[in-house]
Amino acid sequence: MNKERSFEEAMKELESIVKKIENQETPLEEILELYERGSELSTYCQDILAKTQEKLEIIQKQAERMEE
Amino acid sequence: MLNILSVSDITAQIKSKLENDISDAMIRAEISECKFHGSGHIYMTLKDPGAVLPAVIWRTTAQQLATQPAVGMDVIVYGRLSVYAPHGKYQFVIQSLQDAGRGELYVRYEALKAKLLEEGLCALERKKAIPKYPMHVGLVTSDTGAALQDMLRVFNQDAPHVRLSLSPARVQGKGAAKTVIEALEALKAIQPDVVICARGGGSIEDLWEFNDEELARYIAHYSLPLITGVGHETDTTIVDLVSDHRASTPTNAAEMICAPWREVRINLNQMDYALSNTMIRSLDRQNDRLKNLQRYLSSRQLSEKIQNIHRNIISLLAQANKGMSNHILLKASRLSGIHSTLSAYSPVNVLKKGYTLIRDRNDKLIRSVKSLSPEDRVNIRFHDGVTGAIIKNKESKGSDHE
Repeated sequence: MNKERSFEEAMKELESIVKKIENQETPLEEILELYERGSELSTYCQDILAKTQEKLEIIQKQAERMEE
Repeated sequence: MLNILSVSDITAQIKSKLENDISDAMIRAEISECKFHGSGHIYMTLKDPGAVLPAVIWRTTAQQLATQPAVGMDVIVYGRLSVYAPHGKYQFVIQSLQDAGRGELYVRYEALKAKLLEEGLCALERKKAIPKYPMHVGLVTSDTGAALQDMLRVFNQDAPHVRLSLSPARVQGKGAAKTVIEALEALKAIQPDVVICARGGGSIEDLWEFNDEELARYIAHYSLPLITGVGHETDTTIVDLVSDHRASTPTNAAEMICAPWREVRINLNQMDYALSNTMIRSLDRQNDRLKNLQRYLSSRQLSEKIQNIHRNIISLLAQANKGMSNHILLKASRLSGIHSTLSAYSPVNVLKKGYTLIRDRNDKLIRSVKSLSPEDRVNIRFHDGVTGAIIKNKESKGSDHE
Protein backbone atom coordinates (compact mmCIF):
# COMPACT_ATOMS: atom_id res chain seq x y z
CA MET A 1 0.00 0.00 0.00
CA ASN A 2 2.87 2.31 0.87
CA LYS A 3 4.54 2.00 -2.47
CA GLU A 4 1.26 2.48 -4.28
CA ARG A 5 0.60 5.69 -2.37
CA SER A 6 4.11 6.96 -2.97
CA PHE A 7 3.73 6.38 -6.71
CA GLU A 8 0.51 8.35 -6.77
CA GLU A 9 2.07 11.11 -4.66
CA ALA A 10 5.12 11.27 -6.93
CA MET A 11 2.84 11.66 -9.95
CA LYS A 12 0.91 14.45 -8.21
CA GLU A 13 4.06 16.31 -7.19
CA LEU A 14 5.42 15.99 -10.71
CA GLU A 15 2.19 17.48 -12.08
CA SER A 16 2.44 20.46 -9.73
CA ILE A 17 6.12 20.98 -10.59
CA VAL A 18 5.32 21.06 -14.30
CA LYS A 19 2.62 23.66 -13.56
CA LYS A 20 5.03 25.80 -11.50
CA ILE A 21 7.75 25.67 -14.15
CA GLU A 22 5.23 26.71 -16.77
CA ASN A 23 4.33 29.75 -14.70
CA GLN A 24 6.32 32.70 -16.09
CA GLU A 25 6.55 34.37 -12.68
CA THR A 26 8.75 31.61 -11.28
CA PRO A 27 12.36 32.84 -10.94
CA LEU A 28 15.16 31.02 -12.73
CA GLU A 29 16.84 29.74 -9.59
CA GLU A 30 13.62 28.14 -8.46
CA ILE A 31 13.06 26.67 -11.91
CA LEU A 32 16.45 25.00 -11.76
CA GLU A 33 15.57 23.44 -8.43
CA LEU A 34 12.11 22.42 -9.60
CA TYR A 35 13.61 20.90 -12.68
CA GLU A 36 16.05 18.88 -10.63
CA ARG A 37 13.27 17.61 -8.35
CA GLY A 38 11.00 16.93 -11.34
CA SER A 39 13.66 14.85 -13.05
CA GLU A 40 14.14 12.87 -9.85
CA LEU A 41 10.41 12.13 -9.55
CA SER A 42 10.12 11.23 -13.21
CA THR A 43 13.02 8.81 -12.89
CA TYR A 44 11.45 7.28 -9.78
CA CYS A 45 8.14 6.67 -11.59
CA GLN A 46 9.81 5.36 -14.73
CA ASP A 47 11.86 2.94 -12.65
CA ILE A 48 8.74 1.51 -11.04
CA LEU A 49 7.11 1.01 -14.45
CA ALA A 50 10.25 -0.49 -15.95
CA LYS A 51 10.39 -3.37 -13.47
CA THR A 52 9.02 -6.74 -14.53
CA GLN A 53 7.74 -9.22 -12.00
CA GLU A 54 9.28 -12.47 -13.04
CA LYS A 55 6.91 -15.09 -11.79
CA LEU A 56 3.55 -15.69 -10.26
CA GLU A 57 3.63 -16.11 -6.51
CA ILE A 58 1.45 -19.00 -5.31
CA ILE A 59 -0.14 -18.54 -1.90
CA GLN A 60 -0.68 -21.62 0.20
CA LYS A 61 -3.75 -21.89 2.32
CA GLN A 62 -3.40 -21.84 6.09
CA ALA A 63 -4.57 -25.44 6.48
CA GLU A 64 -2.07 -26.79 3.93
CA ARG A 65 0.76 -24.92 5.57
CA MET A 66 -0.06 -26.40 8.96
CA GLU A 67 -0.18 -29.96 7.58
CA GLU A 68 3.38 -29.69 6.40
CA MET B 1 -66.59 -37.30 -53.92
CA LEU B 2 -63.93 -38.71 -51.69
CA ASN B 3 -61.05 -40.71 -53.02
CA ILE B 4 -60.50 -44.10 -51.58
CA LEU B 5 -57.08 -44.18 -49.95
CA SER B 6 -54.79 -46.98 -48.94
CA VAL B 7 -53.53 -47.23 -45.35
CA SER B 8 -50.11 -46.21 -46.65
CA ASP B 9 -51.61 -43.17 -48.39
CA ILE B 10 -53.42 -41.93 -45.30
CA THR B 11 -50.42 -42.68 -43.11
CA ALA B 12 -48.22 -40.68 -45.48
CA GLN B 13 -50.68 -37.78 -45.09
CA ILE B 14 -50.68 -38.14 -41.31
CA LYS B 15 -46.88 -38.28 -41.26
CA SER B 16 -46.51 -35.25 -43.49
CA LYS B 17 -49.05 -33.23 -41.54
CA LEU B 18 -47.80 -34.03 -38.06
CA GLU B 19 -44.12 -33.78 -38.90
CA ASN B 20 -44.59 -30.42 -40.59
CA ASP B 21 -46.79 -28.99 -37.88
CA ILE B 22 -44.72 -30.20 -34.92
CA SER B 23 -41.19 -29.75 -36.13
CA ASP B 24 -40.07 -27.38 -33.42
CA ALA B 25 -41.50 -27.87 -29.93
CA MET B 26 -40.42 -27.46 -26.33
CA ILE B 27 -42.10 -29.63 -23.74
CA ARG B 28 -41.98 -29.78 -19.96
CA ALA B 29 -42.59 -33.30 -18.70
CA GLU B 30 -41.77 -35.97 -16.17
CA ILE B 31 -39.87 -39.03 -17.42
CA SER B 32 -41.98 -42.06 -16.53
CA GLU B 33 -40.02 -44.73 -18.40
CA CYS B 34 -36.45 -44.65 -19.64
CA LYS B 35 -34.65 -47.46 -21.49
CA PHE B 36 -31.05 -47.27 -22.63
CA HIS B 37 -30.97 -49.51 -25.70
CA GLY B 38 -27.84 -51.45 -26.66
CA SER B 39 -27.69 -49.51 -29.91
CA GLY B 40 -27.11 -46.31 -27.96
CA HIS B 41 -30.60 -44.91 -28.48
CA ILE B 42 -32.65 -43.97 -25.42
CA TYR B 43 -36.36 -44.73 -25.45
CA MET B 44 -38.58 -43.06 -22.92
CA THR B 45 -42.10 -42.06 -22.01
CA LEU B 46 -42.86 -38.47 -21.11
CA LYS B 47 -45.96 -37.77 -19.06
CA ASP B 48 -47.95 -35.30 -17.11
CA PRO B 49 -51.18 -35.94 -15.18
CA GLY B 50 -53.28 -35.83 -18.36
CA ALA B 51 -51.27 -37.56 -21.09
CA VAL B 52 -48.29 -39.67 -22.12
CA LEU B 53 -45.95 -39.17 -25.08
CA PRO B 54 -43.46 -41.74 -26.38
CA ALA B 55 -40.07 -40.20 -27.04
CA VAL B 56 -36.63 -41.16 -28.28
CA ILE B 57 -33.14 -39.76 -28.11
CA TRP B 58 -31.07 -41.02 -31.01
CA ARG B 59 -27.57 -42.25 -30.28
CA THR B 60 -25.73 -39.26 -31.75
CA THR B 61 -27.77 -36.86 -29.60
CA ALA B 62 -27.51 -39.13 -26.56
CA GLN B 63 -23.72 -39.02 -26.72
CA GLN B 64 -23.72 -35.24 -26.38
CA LEU B 65 -26.18 -34.88 -23.50
CA ALA B 66 -24.89 -32.88 -20.52
CA THR B 67 -27.72 -34.18 -18.37
CA GLN B 68 -28.45 -37.92 -18.25
CA PRO B 69 -32.18 -38.65 -18.21
CA ALA B 70 -33.64 -40.82 -15.47
CA VAL B 71 -37.07 -42.01 -14.42
CA GLY B 72 -38.93 -39.46 -12.35
CA MET B 73 -36.81 -36.54 -13.60
CA ASP B 74 -38.56 -33.28 -14.34
CA VAL B 75 -37.24 -32.17 -17.74
CA ILE B 76 -37.62 -29.63 -20.47
CA VAL B 77 -37.06 -31.22 -23.90
CA TYR B 78 -36.76 -29.73 -27.33
CA GLY B 79 -37.39 -31.59 -30.59
CA ARG B 80 -39.87 -32.66 -33.28
CA LEU B 81 -42.59 -35.21 -33.84
CA SER B 82 -41.90 -38.26 -35.98
CA VAL B 83 -44.37 -40.82 -37.37
CA TYR B 84 -43.24 -44.42 -37.88
CA ALA B 85 -45.57 -45.78 -40.60
CA PRO B 86 -44.86 -49.54 -40.27
CA HIS B 87 -46.12 -49.48 -36.66
CA GLY B 88 -48.68 -46.74 -37.02
CA LYS B 89 -47.07 -44.92 -34.11
CA TYR B 90 -45.75 -41.48 -33.42
CA GLN B 91 -42.96 -40.46 -31.08
CA PHE B 92 -41.19 -37.29 -30.08
CA VAL B 93 -37.57 -37.09 -31.24
CA ILE B 94 -35.63 -35.26 -28.55
CA GLN B 95 -32.82 -32.99 -29.76
CA SER B 96 -31.92 -31.48 -26.43
CA LEU B 97 -32.81 -32.22 -22.85
CA GLN B 98 -32.36 -30.14 -19.73
CA ASP B 99 -33.12 -30.71 -16.11
CA ALA B 100 -36.13 -28.55 -15.28
CA GLY B 101 -34.45 -28.16 -11.86
CA ARG B 102 -32.63 -25.30 -13.55
CA GLY B 103 -35.85 -23.44 -13.16
CA GLU B 104 -35.63 -24.16 -9.50
CA LEU B 105 -32.02 -22.84 -9.43
CA TYR B 106 -33.26 -19.66 -10.98
CA VAL B 107 -35.93 -19.34 -8.33
CA ARG B 108 -33.31 -19.88 -5.61
CA TYR B 109 -30.99 -17.30 -7.20
CA GLU B 110 -33.73 -14.69 -7.24
CA ALA B 111 -34.70 -15.46 -3.64
CA LEU B 112 -31.11 -15.08 -2.36
CA LYS B 113 -30.62 -11.89 -4.36
CA ALA B 114 -33.77 -10.38 -2.88
CA LYS B 115 -32.66 -11.36 0.62
CA LEU B 116 -29.16 -9.83 0.27
CA LEU B 117 -30.57 -6.67 -1.28
CA GLU B 118 -32.99 -6.29 1.57
CA GLU B 119 -30.16 -6.68 4.10
CA GLY B 120 -28.30 -3.92 2.30
CA LEU B 121 -25.28 -6.12 1.51
CA CYS B 122 -25.28 -4.96 -2.13
CA ALA B 123 -25.55 -1.25 -1.26
CA LEU B 124 -23.26 1.14 -3.12
CA GLU B 125 -22.03 2.84 0.05
CA ARG B 126 -20.67 -0.51 1.26
CA LYS B 127 -18.43 -0.85 -1.77
CA LYS B 128 -14.73 -0.15 -1.23
CA ALA B 129 -12.84 1.99 -3.74
CA ILE B 130 -10.60 0.07 -6.13
CA PRO B 131 -7.07 1.56 -5.82
CA LYS B 132 -5.96 3.34 -8.95
CA TYR B 133 -2.33 2.22 -9.01
CA PRO B 134 -2.14 -1.12 -7.21
CA MET B 135 1.40 -2.49 -6.99
CA HIS B 136 0.29 -5.89 -5.73
CA VAL B 137 -2.77 -7.82 -6.92
CA GLY B 138 -4.17 -11.03 -5.40
CA LEU B 139 -5.84 -13.51 -7.75
CA VAL B 140 -8.36 -16.12 -6.64
CA THR B 141 -9.13 -18.61 -9.38
CA SER B 142 -8.26 -22.11 -10.56
CA ASP B 143 -4.54 -22.54 -11.14
CA THR B 144 -5.33 -24.64 -14.22
CA GLY B 145 -8.15 -22.58 -15.74
CA ALA B 146 -8.28 -20.36 -18.79
CA ALA B 147 -9.30 -17.42 -16.59
CA LEU B 148 -5.82 -17.31 -15.02
CA GLN B 149 -4.10 -17.39 -18.42
CA ASP B 150 -6.42 -14.64 -19.73
CA MET B 151 -5.57 -12.40 -16.78
CA LEU B 152 -1.83 -13.09 -16.92
CA ARG B 153 -1.83 -12.12 -20.59
CA VAL B 154 -3.30 -8.69 -19.77
CA PHE B 155 -0.94 -8.07 -16.84
CA ASN B 156 2.13 -9.13 -18.81
CA GLN B 157 1.22 -6.81 -21.62
CA ASP B 158 0.06 -3.68 -19.80
CA ALA B 159 1.45 -3.80 -16.27
CA PRO B 160 4.34 -6.26 -16.02
CA HIS B 161 5.65 -4.40 -12.97
CA VAL B 162 2.63 -5.32 -10.84
CA ARG B 163 3.27 -8.11 -8.35
CA LEU B 164 0.74 -10.95 -8.66
CA SER B 165 -0.12 -13.48 -5.95
CA LEU B 166 -2.29 -16.43 -6.89
CA SER B 167 -4.36 -18.04 -4.18
CA PRO B 168 -5.75 -21.11 -5.98
CA ALA B 169 -9.34 -22.28 -5.52
CA ARG B 170 -11.69 -24.73 -7.12
CA VAL B 171 -14.18 -22.75 -9.17
CA GLN B 172 -16.66 -25.45 -10.12
CA GLY B 173 -18.53 -28.34 -8.54
CA LYS B 174 -19.93 -28.92 -5.08
CA GLY B 175 -17.79 -27.40 -2.34
CA ALA B 176 -16.00 -24.96 -4.67
CA ALA B 177 -17.48 -21.95 -2.83
CA LYS B 178 -15.77 -23.11 0.34
CA THR B 179 -12.37 -23.29 -1.38
CA VAL B 180 -12.92 -19.77 -2.73
CA ILE B 181 -13.54 -18.53 0.82
CA GLU B 182 -10.34 -20.24 2.00
CA ALA B 183 -8.35 -18.76 -0.87
CA LEU B 184 -9.67 -15.26 -0.14
CA GLU B 185 -8.88 -15.75 3.55
CA ALA B 186 -5.29 -16.80 2.73
CA LEU B 187 -4.72 -13.52 0.86
CA LYS B 188 -5.42 -11.50 4.01
CA ALA B 189 -2.05 -12.60 5.36
CA ILE B 190 -0.15 -10.86 2.54
CA GLN B 191 -2.50 -7.88 2.11
CA PRO B 192 -2.45 -7.21 -1.64
CA ASP B 193 -3.76 -3.77 -2.70
CA VAL B 194 -6.70 -5.36 -4.52
CA VAL B 195 -8.06 -8.88 -5.16
CA ILE B 196 -9.60 -10.34 -8.32
CA CYS B 197 -11.87 -13.36 -7.91
CA ALA B 198 -12.43 -14.83 -11.36
CA ARG B 199 -13.79 -17.77 -13.29
CA GLY B 200 -14.25 -18.27 -17.03
CA GLY B 201 -17.53 -18.86 -18.81
CA GLY B 202 -19.69 -21.95 -18.35
CA SER B 203 -23.24 -23.19 -17.93
CA ILE B 204 -25.39 -21.94 -15.08
CA GLU B 205 -24.58 -25.18 -13.24
CA ASP B 206 -20.84 -24.55 -13.68
CA LEU B 207 -21.14 -21.05 -12.24
CA TRP B 208 -23.57 -22.07 -9.53
CA GLU B 209 -21.05 -22.10 -6.68
CA PHE B 210 -20.71 -18.33 -7.15
CA ASN B 211 -24.34 -18.04 -6.07
CA ASP B 212 -23.56 -19.61 -2.71
CA GLU B 213 -24.99 -17.72 0.23
CA GLU B 214 -22.06 -18.32 2.58
CA LEU B 215 -19.58 -17.11 -0.06
CA ALA B 216 -21.75 -14.06 -0.78
CA ARG B 217 -21.85 -13.11 2.89
CA TYR B 218 -18.10 -13.65 3.25
CA ILE B 219 -17.39 -11.40 0.26
CA ALA B 220 -19.77 -8.69 1.46
CA HIS B 221 -17.67 -8.41 4.63
CA TYR B 222 -14.25 -8.97 3.01
CA SER B 223 -11.63 -6.48 4.17
CA LEU B 224 -9.69 -6.04 0.90
CA PRO B 225 -11.04 -4.29 -2.22
CA LEU B 226 -12.44 -7.05 -4.43
CA ILE B 227 -13.29 -7.28 -8.12
CA THR B 228 -15.30 -10.26 -9.38
CA GLY B 229 -15.13 -11.46 -12.97
CA VAL B 230 -17.27 -14.57 -13.30
CA GLY B 231 -18.51 -16.11 -16.55
CA HIS B 232 -19.35 -14.19 -19.70
CA GLU B 233 -20.67 -10.65 -20.15
CA THR B 234 -24.27 -11.79 -19.73
CA ASP B 235 -23.77 -13.77 -16.52
CA THR B 236 -24.41 -12.04 -13.23
CA THR B 237 -23.86 -14.14 -10.17
CA ILE B 238 -24.63 -13.36 -6.54
CA VAL B 239 -20.96 -12.66 -5.76
CA ASP B 240 -20.99 -9.94 -8.45
CA LEU B 241 -23.73 -8.18 -6.50
CA VAL B 242 -21.81 -8.09 -3.21
CA SER B 243 -18.27 -7.49 -4.48
CA ASP B 244 -16.81 -3.98 -4.71
CA HIS B 245 -16.77 -4.06 -8.49
CA ARG B 246 -18.26 -6.45 -11.03
CA ALA B 247 -16.18 -7.03 -14.15
CA SER B 248 -17.89 -8.86 -16.98
CA THR B 249 -15.12 -11.44 -17.52
CA PRO B 250 -11.73 -12.34 -16.00
CA THR B 251 -10.01 -10.46 -18.86
CA ASN B 252 -12.15 -7.42 -18.18
CA ALA B 253 -11.23 -7.52 -14.47
CA ALA B 254 -7.51 -7.52 -15.31
CA GLU B 255 -8.01 -4.72 -17.83
CA MET B 256 -9.75 -2.61 -15.24
CA ILE B 257 -6.61 -2.79 -13.06
CA CYS B 258 -4.21 -2.25 -15.96
CA ALA B 259 -5.96 0.64 -17.74
CA PRO B 260 -4.78 3.38 -15.30
CA TRP B 261 -1.26 1.98 -15.48
CA ARG B 262 -1.32 2.11 -19.27
CA GLU B 263 -2.53 5.71 -19.08
CA VAL B 264 0.07 6.73 -16.53
CA ARG B 265 2.89 5.65 -18.85
CA ILE B 266 1.61 8.11 -21.44
CA ASN B 267 1.09 10.92 -18.89
CA LEU B 268 4.56 10.47 -17.51
CA ASN B 269 6.09 10.84 -20.96
CA GLN B 270 4.07 13.99 -21.56
CA MET B 271 5.09 15.54 -18.26
CA ASP B 272 8.70 14.68 -18.87
CA TYR B 273 8.46 16.48 -22.17
CA ALA B 274 6.73 19.49 -20.61
CA LEU B 275 9.40 19.64 -17.93
CA SER B 276 12.29 20.04 -20.35
CA ASN B 277 10.32 22.09 -22.87
CA THR B 278 9.36 24.72 -20.31
CA MET B 279 12.95 24.68 -19.09
CA ILE B 280 14.08 25.71 -22.55
CA ARG B 281 11.50 28.46 -22.78
CA SER B 282 12.37 29.91 -19.40
CA LEU B 283 16.07 29.84 -20.28
CA ASP B 284 15.18 31.71 -23.46
CA ARG B 285 13.34 34.32 -21.44
CA GLN B 286 16.32 34.75 -19.16
CA ASN B 287 18.53 35.10 -22.21
CA ASP B 288 16.34 37.92 -23.53
CA ARG B 289 16.48 39.68 -20.20
CA LEU B 290 20.24 39.42 -20.21
CA LYS B 291 20.46 40.91 -23.70
CA ASN B 292 18.36 43.87 -22.61
CA LEU B 293 20.49 44.25 -19.57
CA GLN B 294 23.61 44.14 -21.71
CA ARG B 295 22.40 46.98 -23.89
CA TYR B 296 21.63 48.96 -20.80
CA LEU B 297 24.97 48.20 -19.17
CA SER B 298 27.19 48.77 -22.23
CA SER B 299 25.71 52.21 -22.72
CA ARG B 300 27.17 52.98 -19.35
CA GLN B 301 30.54 51.55 -20.33
CA LEU B 302 30.82 49.07 -17.59
CA SER B 303 33.83 47.05 -16.76
CA GLU B 304 35.21 44.16 -18.76
CA LYS B 305 34.50 41.84 -15.88
CA ILE B 306 30.74 42.17 -16.11
CA GLN B 307 30.89 41.67 -19.86
CA ASN B 308 32.80 38.46 -19.30
CA ILE B 309 30.24 37.20 -16.87
CA HIS B 310 27.58 38.03 -19.37
CA ARG B 311 29.33 36.14 -22.17
CA ASN B 312 29.74 33.13 -19.95
CA ILE B 313 26.06 33.08 -19.12
CA ILE B 314 25.07 33.46 -22.76
CA SER B 315 27.27 30.60 -23.83
CA LEU B 316 25.94 28.48 -20.99
CA LEU B 317 22.40 29.21 -22.07
CA ALA B 318 23.17 28.54 -25.71
CA GLN B 319 24.76 25.28 -24.74
CA ALA B 320 21.74 24.42 -22.61
CA ASN B 321 19.37 25.33 -25.42
CA LYS B 322 21.17 23.17 -27.91
CA GLY B 323 21.27 20.27 -25.52
CA MET B 324 17.63 20.65 -24.74
CA SER B 325 16.57 20.62 -28.39
CA ASN B 326 18.59 17.52 -29.06
CA HIS B 327 17.13 16.05 -25.96
CA ILE B 328 13.58 16.56 -27.14
CA LEU B 329 14.33 14.88 -30.44
CA LEU B 330 15.72 11.98 -28.47
CA LYS B 331 12.63 11.82 -26.33
CA ALA B 332 10.40 11.34 -29.31
CA SER B 333 12.10 8.08 -30.04
CA ARG B 334 13.08 6.77 -26.65
CA LEU B 335 12.08 8.03 -23.28
CA SER B 336 14.66 6.37 -21.12
CA GLY B 337 17.54 8.19 -22.77
CA ILE B 338 16.20 11.45 -21.51
CA HIS B 339 17.44 11.58 -18.00
CA SER B 340 21.13 11.43 -18.68
CA THR B 341 20.88 14.26 -21.20
CA LEU B 342 18.86 16.36 -18.85
CA SER B 343 21.20 15.91 -15.98
CA ALA B 344 23.81 17.89 -17.90
CA TYR B 345 21.67 20.92 -17.23
CA SER B 346 20.90 20.29 -13.62
CA PRO B 347 21.60 23.19 -11.29
CA VAL B 348 24.52 21.27 -9.85
CA ASN B 349 26.25 21.44 -13.18
CA VAL B 350 25.47 25.10 -13.53
CA LEU B 351 27.18 25.56 -10.19
CA LYS B 352 30.15 23.56 -11.45
CA LYS B 353 30.75 26.26 -13.98
CA GLY B 354 31.69 28.49 -11.10
CA TYR B 355 28.40 30.10 -10.24
CA THR B 356 27.13 30.05 -6.69
CA LEU B 357 23.81 30.54 -5.00
CA ILE B 358 23.86 32.83 -1.97
CA ARG B 359 21.16 32.54 0.64
CA ASP B 360 20.50 34.42 3.85
CA ARG B 361 20.01 32.79 7.23
CA ASN B 362 16.38 32.02 6.40
CA ASP B 363 17.55 30.20 3.29
CA LYS B 364 16.09 32.93 1.12
CA LEU B 365 17.93 33.47 -2.11
CA ILE B 366 19.78 36.80 -2.32
CA ARG B 367 19.29 38.47 -5.68
CA SER B 368 20.66 41.91 -4.98
CA VAL B 369 23.43 43.48 -3.05
CA LYS B 370 20.80 45.87 -1.78
CA SER B 371 19.35 43.22 0.48
CA LEU B 372 22.68 42.79 2.26
CA SER B 373 24.26 44.76 5.06
CA PRO B 374 27.70 44.46 6.58
CA GLU B 375 27.98 41.68 9.21
CA ASP B 376 25.10 39.70 7.58
CA ARG B 377 25.63 35.98 7.72
CA VAL B 378 25.04 34.17 4.46
CA ASN B 379 25.37 30.66 3.02
CA ILE B 380 27.13 30.18 -0.29
CA ARG B 381 26.17 27.08 -2.26
CA PHE B 382 28.93 25.72 -4.50
CA HIS B 383 28.46 22.67 -6.67
CA ASP B 384 30.20 20.55 -4.07
CA GLY B 385 28.87 21.99 -0.86
CA VAL B 386 27.79 24.96 1.19
CA THR B 387 29.90 27.37 3.19
CA GLY B 388 29.00 30.17 5.56
CA ALA B 389 30.28 33.69 5.12
CA ILE B 390 29.97 37.11 6.68
CA ILE B 391 29.53 40.25 4.59
CA LYS B 392 32.36 42.69 5.23
CA ASN B 393 31.37 45.62 3.12
CA LYS B 394 29.28 46.30 0.08
CA GLU B 395 29.45 48.33 -3.06
CA SER B 396 26.55 49.34 -5.25
CA LYS B 397 26.55 49.30 -9.05
CA GLY B 398 28.39 52.17 -10.60
CA SER B 399 31.20 52.24 -8.08
CA ASP B 400 34.68 50.97 -8.92
CA HIS B 401 35.25 47.31 -9.57
CA GLU B 402 38.55 45.62 -9.09
